[in-house]
Amino acid sequence: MNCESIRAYIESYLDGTLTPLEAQIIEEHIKDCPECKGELKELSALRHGLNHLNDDVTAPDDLMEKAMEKIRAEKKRKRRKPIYWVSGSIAAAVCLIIALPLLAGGMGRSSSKAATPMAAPDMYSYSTTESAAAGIANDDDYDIKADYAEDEWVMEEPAPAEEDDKADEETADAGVYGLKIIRTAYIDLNTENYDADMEALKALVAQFGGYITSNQESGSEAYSNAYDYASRWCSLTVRVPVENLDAFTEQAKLVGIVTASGIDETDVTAQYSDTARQLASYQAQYEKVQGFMERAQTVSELMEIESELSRLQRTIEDLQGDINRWDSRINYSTVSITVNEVKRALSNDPTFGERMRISLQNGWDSFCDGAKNFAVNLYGAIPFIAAWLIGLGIAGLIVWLIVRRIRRKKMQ
Amino acid sequence: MELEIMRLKKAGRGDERAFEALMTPHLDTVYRVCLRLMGNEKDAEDCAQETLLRVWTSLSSFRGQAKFSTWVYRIAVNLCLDELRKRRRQQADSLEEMKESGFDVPDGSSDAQSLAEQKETRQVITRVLNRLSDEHRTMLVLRDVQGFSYEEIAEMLSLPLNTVKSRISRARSNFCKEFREEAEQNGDLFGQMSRKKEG
Repeated sequence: MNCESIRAYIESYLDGTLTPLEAQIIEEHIKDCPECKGELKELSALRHGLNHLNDDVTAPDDLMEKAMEKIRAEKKRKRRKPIYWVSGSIAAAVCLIIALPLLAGGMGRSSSKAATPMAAPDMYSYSTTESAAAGIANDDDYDIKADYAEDEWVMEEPAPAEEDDKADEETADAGVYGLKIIRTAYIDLNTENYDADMEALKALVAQFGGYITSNQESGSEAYSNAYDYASRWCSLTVRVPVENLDAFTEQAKLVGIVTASGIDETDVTAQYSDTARQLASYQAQYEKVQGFMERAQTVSELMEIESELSRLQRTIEDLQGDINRWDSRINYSTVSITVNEVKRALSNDPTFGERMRISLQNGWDSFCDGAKNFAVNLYGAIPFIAAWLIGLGIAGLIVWLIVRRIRRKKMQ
Repeated sequence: MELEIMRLKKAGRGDERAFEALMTPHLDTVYRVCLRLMGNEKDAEDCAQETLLRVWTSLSSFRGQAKFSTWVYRIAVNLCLDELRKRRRQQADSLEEMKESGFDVPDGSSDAQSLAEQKETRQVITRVLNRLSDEHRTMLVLRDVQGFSYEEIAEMLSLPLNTVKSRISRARSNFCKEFREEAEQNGDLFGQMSRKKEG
């Protein structure tokens, strides 16, 4: 072998990547060839120099400390962002809350609500409220959004899903957990037979396997009878199994005259499966960390693992709670029913003649009510009038006595 | 290893102590890589700090497809190379300006005098190393100075294994050539080194 081809192998020889036979060939050549021997010496000296270049080098003692300072500064800077984000969304939400009723002002539901005759507040006959279902629902939405916001900067768990995969993922979600839809309904009714219709509604709730969560009434029978003026009003919140929702609302609408009604559907499949997936991954993590326990060698390691386990446990419980709340809202629909007592309800599709007739009747009723109310009020004012008359009588008597006295003096 | 995974997760959630525990075993290597790539201690420290910061902010994107240490060194190498590129651009700009204003730019050989005084072999090697292109220096620092395997280097630099091998071999021969030139100007450095080694 000539020197040139030997030199091509010297690098590999130094790396120790040659076969024993190849290495032997090189070594034998070098014995007889001082030039190649020199080359090998040079190269190995250089390699040696490079290998030990960093022997005495260690990182500066304060490297970690200074880096942590930078990291904390960076953390602070990042943490400020969500505050802007949160305050921005709060401002937007406030604007929306103010703007929505204004925008919806002309529409059926809110106007009928606005026109609801309200009795004096101190006339509430009774009011029962078991856990306000609607309130809990809103809290849920808020919590979930807050979690997302946190994720953006804490970067809790792996992989923020890529945009392109989103659509696929959603259909996949539906496959794994089924479509998750929260259905809610509202019905506004006018009724002429308040007591009977309320009983009918409550019977319907029981019939369809539901229950009442809140029942607020204002105005009382005594009040309406005394003035002969129908003004009772009830706001009923009920939960019915979602499979009975349609049948229940159909039946409930037949109870009175419907002034407004609707069904809202909120698709929470994505959020639901996110939470469910997170839960599954945390549970897997929990089991894994539990496995570390046996292999822990020091007490501090053991404590580290235990604190991690209890943190995971808390997270798992929170997520399970979220899932349970979703399930409850999905399986039981919330229905808000408002019942207004009216003296004469228009049918669902009134003719012109009917409207004229009802209007005249209402006018006459108002007149009669007015007259009766006047009479009632006048009757009720008798003590005052009597007191007045007596007062006037006494004053008149005194004046008459004085006048008579003066006349007599003049006569004398 | 499992402890490392747990610390990784904790650090990912913002636990600073877990992060410190996680990074401590790698501090020396990070600093050494930075030192040899940047060529001086001040820049090495800056780059090492910056590397730690970068590791902290991108912990969430570490998916465990590579060894954690390889991933950290990869960040350090890329950071140094970016920094060097940035400086070269600025240097080129300022050189242009100086030339335009009539300044005589000295060539590398004028350092020969001071080099002759620095007989310490390591300093010479460092000097030669710093004269190499970034690409070649990176290869030598990772392979011969830090002793990473070809596979690890391929992973760090996102290069095919064969490219890494051929670049390392080219870098070595280039380094030898540069060193010989240095030796010719400054007496028999090779002889000194060989003697040292044999002794």
